[in-house]
Formats: sequence, C-alpha cells, structure tokens
Amino acid sequence: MNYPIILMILGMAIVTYIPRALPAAVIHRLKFSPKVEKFLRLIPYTAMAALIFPGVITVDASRPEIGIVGGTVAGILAWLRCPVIVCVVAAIATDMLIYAAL
Amino acid sequence: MNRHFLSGMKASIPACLGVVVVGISIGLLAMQAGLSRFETILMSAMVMAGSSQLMAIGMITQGASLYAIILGTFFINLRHVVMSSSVMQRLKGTTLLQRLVGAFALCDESFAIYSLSNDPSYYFLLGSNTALYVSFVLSTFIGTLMTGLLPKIVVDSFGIAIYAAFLGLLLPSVRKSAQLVILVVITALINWFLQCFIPKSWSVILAMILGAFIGVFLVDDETISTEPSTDLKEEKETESSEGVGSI
Repeated sequence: MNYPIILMILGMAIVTYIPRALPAAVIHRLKFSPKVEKFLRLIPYTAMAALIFPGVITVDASRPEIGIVGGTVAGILAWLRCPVIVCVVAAIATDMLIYAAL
Repeated sequence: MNRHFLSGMKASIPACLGVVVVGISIGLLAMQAGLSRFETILMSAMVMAGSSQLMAIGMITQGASLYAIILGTFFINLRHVVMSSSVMQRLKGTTLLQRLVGAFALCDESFAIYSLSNDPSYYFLLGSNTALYVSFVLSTFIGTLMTGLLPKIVVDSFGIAIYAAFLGLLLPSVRKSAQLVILVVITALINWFLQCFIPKSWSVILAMILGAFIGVFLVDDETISTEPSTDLKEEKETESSEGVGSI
C-alpha cells in the first residue's frame, strides 16, 4: 500500500453515502427504469465473481493448488449454505494441511 | 417514538445474526491485510456496507490503487440509491436532517425490514438501522481481537481466507438460479480475459460492470426482484440473512 488507508476509508465512505443520501435530499424526484434497477442489483454478484477468479489461483503464485483446493473446499461449503466464517476456517485448515503435508 | 424505535430494533434481530458473521470476517481479514485495529473499525463505522469492505480488503491484497478501490466501492454500493428512494417515499413528514440520518446506515437488510413492516414510522427505520449498525461495528471489533489469537501456521495459510469469504457470500445467493450461476461464470471469464491486457484491479471493475450489463438481458426479472418480500420469505426458510444481496 503506497497510500494512507484513512484516505481510502474516507473515499469509500463518501461514495457509499452519496447514493444513500441522494434520494433523501431529492425525495419524489428519483425514478429508475426496471432495467437500471436490475443492473444495479446485479453488480454485487458480478463484483464477487470477478474478485474470485482468476485471483484465487494466485493465492500462492508458485503453488496454484493452494488456491484451487482451498477455494474448492470453501466453494462446496458455501454451496451447501454454510456461514461465511465456516467457509473461511475450512479453507484455511485445508491449506494448512497442504503446506504441512507437502 | 420509543415504541417505534424498539419495535424496529426487535424486527432486526434475525438479520443481525447474519450481519455479525460478516462483521467478524471483515475484522479478521482486514487486520490480516495490514490495516490497524482502529482503521478496521473506522471502516465498518463509516462505510457500513459489508461486501464493498470485503472487496476493498481483497483489492488491497491484490495491490490495487486507491482510485480503483474507491471506484469499485462506488459501483458495488450504487444499488443503495434504489432502496433509499423507495424508503424515502414512505418517510412523509420528516425533516431533511432526519432523512439524511436515516440514509446513513441504510442497508439491504434495513430496507427489507422497513419495507415489509406495517409501521412506516421514521423511528422504526432508525431502530432497525441502529440495531444492524451496532451489531456490525461491534462484530468487526470482535473480529479484530481474534487475529491476535492465531498461531503463525494459521497466518501463513491466510491467503485463501478472503477468497473463501467471497465464495461464502456469493454461492448461497446464486444457487437458486442457473441464470445467475451462468452470469457469474461469464463475469469471471471476462475478468480473466481482460487481465491479459489491463491491470488486475481495473479489469475487476470493468468485468463487474460488463457482467451486470449482460445480466440485465440474461437473468429473469423475478430472480433479481426489487420486491423485498421474496428475499425475506426465503431468509425465514433458510434462517440465514447472509449473501451478496445483503449488507
């Protein structure tokens, strides 16, 4: 990181508050077409998708299996609706085993 | 007033449980990514939008620039404008200051809870927001305390954690729809392709916008409904309120 984290937090807070506050200020005047609404609601899904792949393969750049196996374990648990924290702990445990064994 | 505030808080208790899990993950992962305890808690207290905070933490570990992180946050949280405008329509007879305060901690959960309640009072919304906000910030703090307890061998394997958190948020909310699964795969492939030509953090932003644009045509309207009712019904069935659609 070659920038102050405080600056990042401030920037994030501002760009997050603006969409929340805008309708409070200009009440009655904001209308969205169904397509625009759908686009906005899809962004969190596509953002997570882009963040996961292909980044997950490069968790350990010299050993792609660390990301692939750990990611697969987390993915299966997530698919079975396990809580986020369970997916995280299981993936870490899996990678610990791989590092310890190989 | 107090009665509305309390019933808003009460109505939010089930959703708080989901928020707490996300908060703990954020506390843990942010510290691991190199943020201080103060910065981690400040982020939750000022941003109060879980998926964007996890995204920022992930982008830090991927070496993204400040501008990329802020732009990505803007896009991922832009959906709040839709929820906020629906909530604000119901808040007749409030002052601008009251509405601006009500907008601060407005999130997917408080939007759903307020929209479904038959109590349109401003203080109901405020009670709901407060319960969710306090759970989120407190659980972030608890998450930051947990990092100190981890032995070195765990820390060495921590690289996978942020990806496990992304998967844990994403997959439970896409498994209900094959179209969403396909969209997620397409977006990942777009990102993979773009990374051959542009820096990683910008390809993520471009891929998420392109993906959402494709999704407008690929995914049925009912799958991504603005009506909160279906979401909450499903939450009651599964006893879970986590997911990208939330917070």
